[in-house]
Order: sequence, then C-alpha cells, then structure tokens
Amino acid sequence: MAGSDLYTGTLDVLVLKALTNGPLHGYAIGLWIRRTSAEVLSVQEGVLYPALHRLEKRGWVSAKWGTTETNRRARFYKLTQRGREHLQAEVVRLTEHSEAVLSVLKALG
Amino acid sequence: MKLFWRTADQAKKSWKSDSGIREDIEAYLEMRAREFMDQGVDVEEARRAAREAFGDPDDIAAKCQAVRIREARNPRGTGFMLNLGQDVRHTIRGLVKAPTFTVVAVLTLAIGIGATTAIFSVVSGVLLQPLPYDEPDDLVAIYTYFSPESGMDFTKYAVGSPEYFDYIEQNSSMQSVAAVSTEWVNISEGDGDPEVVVGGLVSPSMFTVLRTPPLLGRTLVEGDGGPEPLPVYVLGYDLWRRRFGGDSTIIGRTIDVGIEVAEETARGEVVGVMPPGYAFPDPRVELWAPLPLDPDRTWRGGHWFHMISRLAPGVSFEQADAEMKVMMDRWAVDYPDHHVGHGLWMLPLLDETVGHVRTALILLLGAVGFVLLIACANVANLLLARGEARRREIAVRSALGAGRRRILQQLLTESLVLAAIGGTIGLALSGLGVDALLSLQTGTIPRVDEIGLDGRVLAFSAVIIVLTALVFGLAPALREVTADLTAAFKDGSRSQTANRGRIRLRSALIVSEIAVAILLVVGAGLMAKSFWNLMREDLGFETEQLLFTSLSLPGTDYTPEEATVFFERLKETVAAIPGVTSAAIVSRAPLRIDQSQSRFHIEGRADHTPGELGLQASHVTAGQGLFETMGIPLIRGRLLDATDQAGTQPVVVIDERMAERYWPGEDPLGQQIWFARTDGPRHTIVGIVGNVKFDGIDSAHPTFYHSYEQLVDWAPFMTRTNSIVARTSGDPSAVAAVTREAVRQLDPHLPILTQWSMHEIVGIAVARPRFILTLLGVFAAVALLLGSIGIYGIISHTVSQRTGEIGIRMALGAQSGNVVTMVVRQGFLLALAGVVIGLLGAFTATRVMAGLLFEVSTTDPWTFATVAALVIGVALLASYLPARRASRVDPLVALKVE
Repeated sequence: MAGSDLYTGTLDVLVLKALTNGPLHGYAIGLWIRRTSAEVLSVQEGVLYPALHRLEKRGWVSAKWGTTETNRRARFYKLTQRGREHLQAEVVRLTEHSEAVLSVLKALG
Repeated sequence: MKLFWRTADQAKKSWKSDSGIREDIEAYLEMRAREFMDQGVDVEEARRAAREAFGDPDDIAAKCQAVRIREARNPRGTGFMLNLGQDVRHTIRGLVKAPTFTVVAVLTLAIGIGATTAIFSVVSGVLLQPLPYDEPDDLVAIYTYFSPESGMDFTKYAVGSPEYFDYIEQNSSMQSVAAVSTEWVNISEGDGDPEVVVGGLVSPSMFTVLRTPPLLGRTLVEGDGGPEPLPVYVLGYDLWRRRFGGDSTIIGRTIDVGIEVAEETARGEVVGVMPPGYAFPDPRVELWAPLPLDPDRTWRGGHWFHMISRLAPGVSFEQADAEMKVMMDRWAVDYPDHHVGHGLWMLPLLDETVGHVRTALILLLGAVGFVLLIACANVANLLLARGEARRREIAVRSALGAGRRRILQQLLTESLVLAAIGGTIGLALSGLGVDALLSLQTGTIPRVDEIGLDGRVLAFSAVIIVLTALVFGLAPALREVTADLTAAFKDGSRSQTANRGRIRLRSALIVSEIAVAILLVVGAGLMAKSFWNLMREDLGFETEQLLFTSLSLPGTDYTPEEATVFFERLKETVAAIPGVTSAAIVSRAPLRIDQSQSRFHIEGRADHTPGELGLQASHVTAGQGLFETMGIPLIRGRLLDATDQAGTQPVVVIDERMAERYWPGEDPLGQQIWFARTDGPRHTIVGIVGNVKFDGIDSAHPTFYHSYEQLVDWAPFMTRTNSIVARTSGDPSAVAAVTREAVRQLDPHLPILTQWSMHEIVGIAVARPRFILTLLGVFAAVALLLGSIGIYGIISHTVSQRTGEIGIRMALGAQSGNVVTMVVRQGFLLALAGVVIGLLGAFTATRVMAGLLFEVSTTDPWTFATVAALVIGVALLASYLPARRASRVDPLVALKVE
C-alpha cells in the first residue's frame, strides 16, 4: 500500500507548492518540480499537464494565456485562495502521516 | 458584448478543443528543448529528447481532455460508471496502439469462446432444451429388461401387451399410459412417386400422454383402438404438405396405406393432421394409426412396442420408479416362468431421447472448456509480457493519483474489453462452428432442429466472456498492481525483482497449459486409436464393391409365395446387370440393425439351467449364393444350395462362434435346432462358416443363417422385407440406378427402402466415433498450437532478457551449441513439468471416455507414451527456434544492449 499512497496526490501538492511564489507556466512548474524532487517527473514529464487541468477544474489554480520569454503563447497558472487552503491542509496531513510512520519505525527500530 | 463574445469564443477554443491544450504543450516542449540545447545538444536531438522526456503529446492532451470532462461531471472523479467509460476509451486507445498484441489476443479468445459457444449451443439444444410437449418433465419412457437370470441378457427390450395392461391396472403413479411402436409404411396416395414413410402404430392414449392438440381434425381417440382398431389415420404435417398439398379438406378422405404386417387392406379415413415438428416415437414418424392391443391376450412371450406415460400430479419420478420396482418383485412371484429376471423399468423421456449422446456431448463440452482455459492462459501470458512495457504507464497513473483499486479496475476493464471483442467475434464464429458440427454429425445427434442461438446460449456466452476476462486478467493485473512501484520509478524501466516474479507466473501458466493440452491430446489419441481399431476390424467378409438394396413388399399385394417369386426374379435380373458379378437375397445388410437376437433350442438337450444365459443367437435369412456373393468363407460342411427348397428338410448354416459356444468339443454338423417363437420344424445344421460382424463392428454375437427359399414353410411373414446384395466388378454406385430400374420394372408402385454400398454402411456405423474423434482432434491440435505459442513466447522473452548473459558466455568461449542447449533445456523443463502433471491428470480424467472406446484401455500406455513424446517434441521445437537466435548473438552487440 505504501507504494501508491505515497504518490497519490504528491504531484498535486508539488504543483501547488511551486505556485506559492507567483504565477508560472507549465514548463516553469515542471522545472521547479524536477529541481525539487528528482523522482516524480522522472518517468514522464507530460504527467504534469493532466494534473494542471485537474487542479484548475477543482478550483485550486486558475489559468490565463500569456506570453513566454521565448515569445510563445502558453497558459500561466496562479494559485487561488482555495488552492492555498488545500495546500496547507495537505501539508498538515502529510506531515502527520510521515510523523506517524516515523514513530512506528523508530519504535520498531 | 463584443468583448464577452470574444472571450467566450476564445475560451471555447482554448479550453474545449485540443488545439489549446496542444499549443500549451508545444510551448513546454520548445522550452524543454532549449534546456537540452544549453547542454550542447544539437536542435534535432534536443527536440527528440524533449519529446522523449515528456511522453506522447497526443496521449497527454487526450488525458487532459479526459480529466476536464471527468472533473466537470464529477468533481471528485470517483464515479464507477464514469471511470468505466473512461477506462473503456483508454483501453481501446491502448489496444489500437498495440495492434499485434490486440489481434493475437482477440483471435485467441475468439477461437476459444467461439468453439465453446458452438459446443454449448449443441448441448443446450439437445440436452437442456425441454422436449416440445406440455409439462415435458412429467413424461417417462418404459421398457423391459432381461437379466441373465431370465436366460437372456438385454438391458433395454420391447414390452408385450399383458405387461402393458397389467401396468395400467396396477399402477397408481401415472395419469396416462400409452403403447408406441413404428412400422415402415408404403404410401402411393397423393402427389409424387410411391414412398416408404415411418408410421407410428400407437395406442390412441399416446396423444393424451403428450397432450399436443391436432392442427386439423382430431387425434386418435380411445374408441379408435382395441383388439381390432378402426381404420383411421392421423397425418404428420410434412406428409400432409408433401403428398396432399396441405389440403385443408382432407379430413374424412379415405386413403390407402400399405402396412407390411397387415395382411388385409389398409384402407382408412384421415381423421386429423398434427402440427409441424410433431413426430413420435421416432423423429421420422409421419403418420399414425392405432396399434392393435387385446386385453384378453395372455401370452407373455411376445414383445413388440414400448411405453410412454405421464406422471400423475404430485408424483415424482422416483416414487413412480419405486412403485414399479415393488410391482416387478410381485410379478416375479406371480409369473415365475416369465418375470424372473424380466420386467419393466422406466427412465425420463428426455434421457430416452438423448441419453446415448449425453456422455459424448459432455465430453466435448469439457474438452472445449479446456481449450478455452488454454486460450485464457495464453492471453494472460501476453498480458504479462505487455505488462513489462506498461509499467511506466501504470507508475504514471499511480503518480497522477490513481489508487491501487482504481488501477486494478482499469486493468480488469481492459481484460473485459478484450474478452468482449473476442467473445463477440467468437459468437459470430460459433454460428459457423455449429454449421460445421451439424454437417459432420451425420445422424449422430438427435434433436438437431432444437440447436440454435437462443437466450440460453447468449447468456452462456456472456457468462463465459466475464469469467474468461477474470481468469486471464486477474493474475496479471494483481501482479502489476502489487509490483513495487517505487522500484519502477527508481530504476526507470527495469526492475529485476518484478521481472523475476512475472517470469515465474508465466512459467506456471505455461506448465498448466501443457498439462491441459496433454489431457486433450491423450483424449484425441485414445479416440484415434479406437477409431483405427474400428476401421481395421475384420468384418468377416469382403466389404469392397457390395451394394445392398432393401425392399419391403406390402402384405396387401403379395402373398408369401408371391413375395418369394418376386425376390427370386429380382435377384436374377440384378445378377444379369453388366458390372454385377453375382447377387443374392439377404434379410439385412451387416451393421444395420443392432438387435435381431433370437432364442433357439437344441434337439435332445435341456434348454438352459437357471442363472445361465439361454441359447441365443443372431439370425440372418440367406438366399442361395449369399456366402459366395459376400465372400464369407466356408469352414466345414456345405453352404446353402439349390437342393434347399420349400418342402425339403429345413437347414441352417452356423458360424464358428456359434459352433464353439454351443457345441464346444462336439461336432455341430448334423445336429438339429428349432426356434422358440415358432416352435416349428427342426432345422439341420449343414455347414459352418466364418464369423461375420452382422450386428455391429463392436459386437460378437453367434450367428446362424437359415434358407430364404424355405421360409414359406415355417415363417412366411419373414418373406416380404429383404435386401438384394450385389457384388460388382467396379464402383457399386454405378449399378445403383440400374438396380432401382429393375425394381420398377417388376413393380412400379414399390418404393425402395434404402440403397447403400457397404462402404457407405461402414461410414454410417462409425459416424459417431468419427464425429467425436474429429472434434477432439481439432481441439487437441488447437491446444497444442496454443501451448507451443506459449512456450515459444516465454523462451523468446527470456532469451531477450538474457542476451547480455549469453553475450558474456560467448565472449568467454561458450560454443553456440552450449547456448542452444542451455536455452532449450529451459523449455524442456517447462514441458516436462507440464507433461508429468498432464499425464497424471489424464490417467484419471480419461475414465469418462470408457464407454466411447473400442478395444482401447482408457490408460493405454502406448497412447500416453506417444502423446508425451509428441508434446515434448513440439515443446523442444518451440524452444529451439528462439535458442538458435540466441546462439547467433554477437557478443559485442549483446554486451552493448546491457
């Protein structure tokens, strides 16, 4: 079970986290995630895009078209208030979860 | 307003269509490529690398679209049906992308499901479909038995009239009881040539028991029957349409019908017409007349019909059966001369109709089920092989937030879609399969009209499709889901532990496939050996170039003397036909009638001691020259000749088997015998001939031959139904038409019962074993083919996995022969495990075939050994091909791959 639970929602949380410092387009989000966590996008970077669309549909991010530094049209994503709240809730949940796991491991150790 | 429209339009364009999503993705790819170029890669390579890292843009765009649709409909995206729709779409995209996998898997499943459905259609129509009568489960058939205590040995024998009347009077289980029998009937009334049809001579109560109302007029009613029944007929639908043009005013019309046993005129009134499909007690019956039944007749020695009856409301078959058994115990006391070891017994009417094919059909259904299992194992194997390539995809879905249950659902949906496509094609194929089966079965299967694609067959295929999907889909799916996904991420596309587990599972599947294939091949092998024995069996005469033409002279037109003259003249005419070397009169062709046993007595010897078989032998009426024409060798004494005429001392010729059985250590020549039924004149044994299998290829009854020319003296009723056998110099069918013409010359109104060459008769006699053999053979071949594809697949796979290792070995000096041995050994071990398990299984499983085999034990060691060798041989071949490829590996290339 650990295998899948760990990844469930991990990408979502990373995307939301990437946007806390301001709006970014898809490539920039991907770059931030790749630099922060080597694993999540290592299999297939495209995975990011369905996640972005899902977050948008859930109202956690908003998107509008803008122009990139390479002068191309791309969608820029911005964290919404609901997204910020969701991120905080997730951070709390994940921290509690990992603390629980750690305490068990230590007790066994 | 304008602004609103533009915004809305743009939103539509950007959000709702692929192009917006694609444009966004293109921006990503461009910036990603720049990143690579910054590392010093050229433009083309950078673009390629960006795409590689990103994945298929079309696929990703499609996923985005799917996410948007799903989220819009269901914000949490967990609805099962929505997921299902999405999974199905996803599956179909995946299948389209892997056409080879899809085609192989779908075809394998289509063949498996199609064959299973075809066999089930037959089982459904023949065994499961209720009989076409009102409340058919209440119908039973009643026969008599003669156990060895009675001095005879028949498990299923006809019933006599005192038994019929006693049962009606004494039973309390039946609502109604009827006596039924069939006779050949000549009919020349109406349109077309005179013809012989099967008539049902029945007690009028048959119509009460079966309850089917007439189409026109009335059925036979109680007043029609009795010791001297009224001359009334009920017509079958086909006969009415064929000969009387479906004339609805036929009721009340008087017609002539020639019934062989009736000496008087058989002119009678048509009182009714039955609806289409109604035929009883034989599927060929086309006309019914009352059977004469005299309650005052007390002689219990004659048996010439059987009974059917309908259980009274609330009475079970078991209760009725128990009541009958008690009644038989009483009869044994009341009639010690007749009912010790002889009495009535009953069975459900459906069993009576289909009992003889039940074992064969269930065997075939089991066999085809095994084929389906092998097909499932093969598809499971394909899925496992594919799973390797798909681990990335599954890891990605997992990263996207799909739970384990969700992924399992996706994988099983994929199996279901595969099974549904395969099943649909299979269902279409099954129609062809049923047609092929029916063209192969040649009279083996009863009730073929009931076979078809009905609700039950459709429901069966639906269940089979779902079960199949679970069987082949569950193991691979569980395997993928429990595989360590973290590992999948960590070392990219390779994970040795996951691989090893998969190989183990695949090996287990292969071993089971081989084991099941062994069962089928052993079954087919036993059947083949049995069939070979049947075909090779010496019938005791020269079977090539013989033509039998069978006739039945109506008693209304021919006295026994006239019949004798007719047959003698016909024999002379046929013998004179160019291409015919000789001709003779015989009562029946070999292999055509299975019960013509009669009891006889030996002059000066006690009949038999109780508990032993009485004197019983098969009888044949032989005209002069029969033995010479058929090529039956004379052993001692003389054959029938011109001195054996009406009015002279009656003579018989016996076969060696009869001589050995009844005169062991004595000389039967000159001894005298006579026959129980006629209590007639003593017949002198004048000759001993070789054994002939008159009653069936697998029978060995003692047989005696009495003279046709002398029949008028002691059994005149036997003079009218006989055959002319002709020995031809060329193809017997070449003189068939001329022979028929000769009959027409002598009597234009006389129909020909049957006309067959001995070759055709043998073909009919072995139709059922041939049918079973053909099907089992096809199933076994498919099983073996699928099994070898499985072995080939797994060996190829491990070879490709071990390319590096093989390269190292060869670099270190291993000979290519060593490599081949190493690889083939793996295939051999898999096959050996399968063969051992399969043979152990076959050892017990083939027992179900016992009743279907001729002179072959169900554990025939030769068959088992041959099959084992064959399967191992095929397995070695299937592993040799990839092994040879491995041995040609260039060590340098192999090491690079690693």
